[in-house]
Amino acid sequence: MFQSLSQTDIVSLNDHVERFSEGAIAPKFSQPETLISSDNIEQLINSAFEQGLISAECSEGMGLWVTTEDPLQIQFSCQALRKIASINPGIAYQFHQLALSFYLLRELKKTGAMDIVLGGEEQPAVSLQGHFGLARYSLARFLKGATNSEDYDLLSDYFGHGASQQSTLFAHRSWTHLLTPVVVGDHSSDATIQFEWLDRANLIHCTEGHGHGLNELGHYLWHRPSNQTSSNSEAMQCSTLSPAQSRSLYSRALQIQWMGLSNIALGTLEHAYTLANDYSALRVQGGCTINQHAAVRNLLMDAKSAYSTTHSLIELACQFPINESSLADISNIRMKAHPMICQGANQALQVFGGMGYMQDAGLEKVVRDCTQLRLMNGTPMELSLFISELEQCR
Amino acid sequence: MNAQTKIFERLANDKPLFASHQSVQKPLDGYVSTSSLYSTRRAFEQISSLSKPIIQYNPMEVWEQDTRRLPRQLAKYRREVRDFSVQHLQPFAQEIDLAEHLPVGLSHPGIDKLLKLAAKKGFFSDMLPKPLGSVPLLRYRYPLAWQQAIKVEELARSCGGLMLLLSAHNLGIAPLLMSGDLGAARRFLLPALKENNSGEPHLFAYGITEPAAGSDVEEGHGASLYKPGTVAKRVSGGWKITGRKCFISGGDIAKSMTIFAALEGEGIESWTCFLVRKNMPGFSVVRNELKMGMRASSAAELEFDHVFVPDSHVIGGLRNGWAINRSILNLSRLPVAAMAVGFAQGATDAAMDFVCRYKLGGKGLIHYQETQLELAQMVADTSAIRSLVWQSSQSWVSTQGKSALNKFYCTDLAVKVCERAMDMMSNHGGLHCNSAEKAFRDARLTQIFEGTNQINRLALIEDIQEQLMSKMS
Ligand SMILES: Cc1cc2nc3c(=O)[nH]c(=O)nc-3n(C[C@H](O)[C@H](O)[C@H](O)COP(=O)(O)OP(=O)(O)OC[C@H]3O[C@@H](n4cnc5c(N)ncnc54)[C@H](O)[C@@H]3O)c2cc1C
Repeated sequence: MFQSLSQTDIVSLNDHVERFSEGAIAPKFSQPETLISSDNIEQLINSAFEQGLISAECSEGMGLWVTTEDPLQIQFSCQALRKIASINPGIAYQFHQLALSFYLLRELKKTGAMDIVLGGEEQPAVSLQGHFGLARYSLARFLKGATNSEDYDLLSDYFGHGASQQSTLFAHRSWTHLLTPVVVGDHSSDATIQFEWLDRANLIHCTEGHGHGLNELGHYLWHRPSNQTSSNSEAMQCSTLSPAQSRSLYSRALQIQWMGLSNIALGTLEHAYTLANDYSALRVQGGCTINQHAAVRNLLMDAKSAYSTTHSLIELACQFPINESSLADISNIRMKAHPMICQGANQALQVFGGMGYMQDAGLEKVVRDCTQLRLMNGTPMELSLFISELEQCR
Repeated sequence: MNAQTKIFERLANDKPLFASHQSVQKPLDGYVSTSSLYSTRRAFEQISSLSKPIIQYNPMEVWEQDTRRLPRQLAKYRREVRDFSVQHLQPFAQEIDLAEHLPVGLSHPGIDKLLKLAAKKGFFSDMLPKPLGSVPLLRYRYPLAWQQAIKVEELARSCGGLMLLLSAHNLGIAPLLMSGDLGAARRFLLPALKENNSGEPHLFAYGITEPAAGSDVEEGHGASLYKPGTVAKRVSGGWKITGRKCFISGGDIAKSMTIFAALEGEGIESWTCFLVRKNMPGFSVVRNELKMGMRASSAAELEFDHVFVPDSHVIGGLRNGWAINRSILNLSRLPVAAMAVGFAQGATDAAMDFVCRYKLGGKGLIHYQETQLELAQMVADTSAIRSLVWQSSQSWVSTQGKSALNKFYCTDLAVKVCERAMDMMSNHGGLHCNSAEKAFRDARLTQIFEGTNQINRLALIEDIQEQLMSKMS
């Protein structure tokens, strides 16, 4: 059982994350233009396990996303991700994904899979999103228990993962298994989203490509082999959730994902703002340091206010457990926050002038990473459709 | 019959591009088929022949429609550049963008090949009419800015880096043209153009930016307060230049450079333009920057360690450098706006291809209204900035205000279009193979160089300063 945290616990846990981030993570990312090696990432993942930051057990309050019921633990997960992302968003995303995988494995009671993972033989990855966007209105209707037969068709396609429905995945290259949703049921019954545990070697066709951001991770387009469906595979282990359980679990997983993405982007922006602010106090143009020009102040304020506004929204969301009632609020935060964050990151780059365009200044990576995070698991436009449908189903 | 009516008539007689598809394909969701009586296509067929010259349905691609509205010489040029761009830039764009960052002195073999081709094609001599340059006399009836806008847009649409690789040279030779120094043009420009026309690239680079002065060399107030970092000292028979220039596009591959330096002991008011050759002792390329985008083009840091430059290499006379620089910025900011149009168009085209090809729930994404709304916005934004650039470049005279407003307005909007393209592709928008993310990275530079967009906004105000002052008195 998870033991509730106190404010004092949170302070000491944050200290711990701070020390881990500055001591173990930061030295590996001192040059933004140089990609960290795969081995180094693996070392960091192992350290995160040793430190308890990624935890299979939910009793350890230190782990990211060990529970969605305790607001203080949620707050801790958000702060920890922001801190790590302020050093490197790619590694923060990897930790977040591993923590989300464990959350799901725990909820699905897949102890066998978890033991193998903990034994070091397998590395999980999670692909929560279907092949494109947020399935328009259908996913929202599913989560509200209000699907019709059209939704069933659309969701089957969305989570179909056939050759023409390739899904995107960001994960450290060492992943061996993929946890991913699939729609089960038919037009007449209540559809459910079950989770599958897919073996990368046997079941998945994957191509690794080059992506816009989070370049320390592999970017994959994956789909099932053409002869493989969820029902004919022995190697796949599918969960057996009831419709209500399936809605509840997918909803929580999606919200964890959105909270993760928003916090990682926010930590990244915080870093950009600090860099831009410091630079503007040093760089002289127009006869004075550039922070004395209104033009530069405007840029800095765009970054700062994007940070503060999003931060306040997230803090507010952290007052409550993550469950089906928080779905609209958390999706709203992500929809509103992300364009602001990207704009703020772009303005921070602009403070650097030409230097901002160079990889060694680190700002262009911030912009790319924030943009990449905006595109994952629902863009603002898709979130807008999604939220509007939640409203309609009220 | 006026010219416009003639054009409309010509359009009406043209075979529709998509005719064969129309009859078999189902319409997009939410629309009637183009064969329906409710469609504009059918409705406009039925309107009175008196109205037909001014109201028409045109099934032709927008690009084609725009091209046909250009004067004949420019339309021909637009087609030529598009062909070149599609044939030589497009297939190479993705590869060169991902290619390894090479140390100074090495270049990708594909780049060398492209430079040769472009030289032969006349791209490095297209600031001047034949026989000096490569521009057919008839095309020279139209402003250079318009010609360059057309060219740069088409190249940028395929690849920002390759576009800049082929375009920065024109900035490098601009001082030779703008200084009015015919002697210098004869000594330096004509031989280089000759080499270029023979297919042996002789590229120029333009150097004003210094490590301690970017915006300060783009605007007068900052310049008046700046203590120059690149200085020319008088020696017998010439000048010795010492200092550094940074972020110089094509600075590593240029054989010649137009470099601005202050005279020893004086401020930027003494700026003088010097023609520096790559092989002059004391000159070196210190580094090539690793950039966010535009990766096929280099941004080099150049070092001048007592580089001796003979008197004959002074361009436009001593202490005329600042005036030359300001006039060049007036000319070069419009092409930057045109680059932005190219990026916006490239991103729009990529998004259009994607949403027509990609299916969700068994239907092409283009069937969904939210996709249609986004696409419409992108087409409109791109078309609006193109109209602004074309309209502004139809005059031989370029004012600072006009150039600056084109530059910041078009580049800001183009970056938004690229972001929208990525968003339309959703979780696939960040994939390199879908092109929109590259267009975004390339377009992002246009908000920074040739003066940041903040400096360009201030440049617009500077240009209307007298007007503003008069309202205060
Ligand atoms: C890829 C690339 C290619 C380039 N190619 C060339 C080239 O070929 N030749 C060449 O000479 N240069 C070139 N440049 C330089 C380019 O023109 C400058 O980078 C640009 O003018 C901005 O200067 P900066 O980088 O020094 O920024 P800074 O001037 O340091 O600006 C930093 C920030 O301060 C703001 N700021 C500065 N001064 C003021 C002020 N007075 N009022 C209000 N705000 C102010 C700016 O808007 C910006 O936000 C290139 C740059 C890049 C990135």
